[in-house]
This record gives sequence, C-alpha cells and structure tokens, in this order.
Amino acid sequence: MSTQELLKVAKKHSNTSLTETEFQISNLVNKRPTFAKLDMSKPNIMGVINITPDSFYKNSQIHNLKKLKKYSYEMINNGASIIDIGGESSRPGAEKISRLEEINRVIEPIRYLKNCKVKSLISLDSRNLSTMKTCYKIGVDILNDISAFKERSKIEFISKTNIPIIIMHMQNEPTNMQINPKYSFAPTDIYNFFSKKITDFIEAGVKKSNIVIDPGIGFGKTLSDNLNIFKYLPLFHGLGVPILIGASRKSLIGELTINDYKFRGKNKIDISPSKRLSGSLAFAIHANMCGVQILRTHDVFETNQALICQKYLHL
Amino acid sequence: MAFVEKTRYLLAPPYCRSAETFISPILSSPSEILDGLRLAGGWRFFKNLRVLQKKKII
Repeated sequence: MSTQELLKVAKKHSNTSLTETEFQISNLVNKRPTFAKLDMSKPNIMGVINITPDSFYKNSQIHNLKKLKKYSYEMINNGASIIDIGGESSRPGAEKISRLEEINRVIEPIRYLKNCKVKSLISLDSRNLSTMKTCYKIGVDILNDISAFKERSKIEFISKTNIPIIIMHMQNEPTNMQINPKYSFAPTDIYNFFSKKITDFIEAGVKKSNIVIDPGIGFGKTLSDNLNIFKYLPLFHGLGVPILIGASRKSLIGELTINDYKFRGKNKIDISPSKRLSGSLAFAIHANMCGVQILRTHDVFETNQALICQKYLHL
Repeated sequence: MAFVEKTRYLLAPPYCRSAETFISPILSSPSEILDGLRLAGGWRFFKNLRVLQKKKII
C-alpha cells in the first residue's frame, strides 16, 4: 500500500496510531548523519582482514605486517573506506580464545596501520571489552561486536568514549549458534532485537549517529532465515540508523549452490569459500539495491566494480 | 504466533494494541518513481510500503 494510504488508515484509527506511523515513515526518510565521518548517503565498503589461523576463508588470513600493509593498501586503493580487523574467528563452531591472545594478535597490526596513516578507518572486530579498551587507546576508529555489546560494562565504555559502534545480531554463541536456531519470523524478531538495543544504548548516553546495525547473516540463522532477512532488508531502515551487511563468502552461498546441483541430479561440486565470489557479489548488489550503507567483504575490488557498474545502469 | 502479510488491506490498524506493525519500503530507482520519497537521504526511492503485521499475544 502507499505511504499516503497507510497514513489515512492510521489517522482514521487513533492519534497514537497516526503518530507512530508518521514516526516510522520519518525514520525511513530522514537523512542519516555521517557515521565515523563517513557519508551514509552512498554505499561504503568495509574490507575484512583476519589476524587468525582459523578463519573460514583462508585468503583473508594475514600473518605478517608486510603482507598486512600490501593487503590494506590494495583494499583502500580499490575503494574500501573501512578496514575491519579481527583476531578471533567467529565461524560456526569456533572456540573462544583468551583475551590476551586476541590482544596480542591485533594490537601490532592496528598500531602499524595507524602509524602508516592509512586513508581509511580501522574497525576492531571483537567481543572482548579488554581488547576494545586496548585498541581504543591506540586509535581504532570503530568497534564491531558480534555479541552486540550485551554486557553493561561495554555500553558504559562506549557511552564514555563516544566511539562509533556496529552492533550485530547473533542467536547464541559461535560454538553453538548453528544448532537448531529458532525464530518466529527472523526479520521481525531481529528488528525488535535492534529496536530494544538502540533504545538501551540511547538511554545509556550513546549517540544514535554512532550506531550501525548488522543483522548478522549466518550467525545463528538457517538458510531460510538468511534469505528472509535479505528479502525484507528494507524493513531495517525503519530503525533510523545505517545498515551493514556481510554475506561475503558465507556458507549460505554454498548451500544454495549445492541445493541447485542436487536438484539437477549432480552431486560433486566444490563449494568451499574460495568458490563463493559470484554469490557474494549477487548478495552485495541486492543489498545495495536495498539501500544498505555498508557492505562488508573479503573482495573489495570485485565488490566495488559491481557497484560501479550497477550505478551506471541506474538501478 | 500468527504471521500475516498484506499489501493492500491490513489485519489491524497500524501500531494498534492488538498487532505489531512493521513497514518495509518497496524500493526503486528515481527514474522509476517520479514523486517518491528518498530512502534515508540515500540513492534509493520508494512510494509504496509492504506492511507486515503480527498478532500480539495479550
């Protein structure tokens, strides 16, 4: 139905209904302020770097500073405005590592990139407050937490420092998140989760302009849940904050490919993360068409190229 | 919990006490929607909404 029709129905019902409808529509329309000084009226690319020995996509694993510099500069030259650095794998089944080990993994790379004065923001992908505090001291620009900053101490730290954050939705923990995830309907359940989270953060003194949400594709979701999130992505704009999507090289691409091959009676197919680039680009293009402001990817050049071509097709 | 999607007629008045309401804009390029609304000050536009409603368990 049209926005006008919805407003008419709401007005006919009650003032409360009309006020809430107007508020939701204004959330959809209002221009997003800059996030960590990035323009949110255009798509932004976040490149992924894993300082881990066990992340699901081996090509994103970096083990020395020389390779880190080369890889980061390539990402920035190819269009990344954020480099996301993580020291702990969050692939399904991954075990938590010690805080000290995580800090030891990420501190030198982040300090090194900061000293190189790279022309992009550096975000820390971590769920440990001590790692966040250590990296904040050396100048990390954004905190990205797959556990959505659920501890009160994290919220207090964010409120005190005013650092921009990315809150991700995940059901359970990486060790058990893919064991029978359950939703009433994933897009609306996750919408409600973020709605409450944003309210809690604002009440704690965090600025709304410092918040980005990530529905967490593949984190405690079935294939059907992930596809429903993509189908209803525009819904999340109603939260009034920018959206980040990361589907790069994830297992849903493999699952869809296998299902199609099985349907055609073919069984042997290599669907390892190295064979999921095209699917990643398809999801990135869909997210861009849904107005998603930040795309998290392992393949910055290819994603940027897809967005450039799409822009000139006036989609 | 019942889940109902309607694109034309609603299950209940929007944001009333008996049903949760969610609105999802149906997006297009500016060339396809001449008098549409700009989504979040960005590059996509919309005029129509997909309205999702869920009965609340009271």
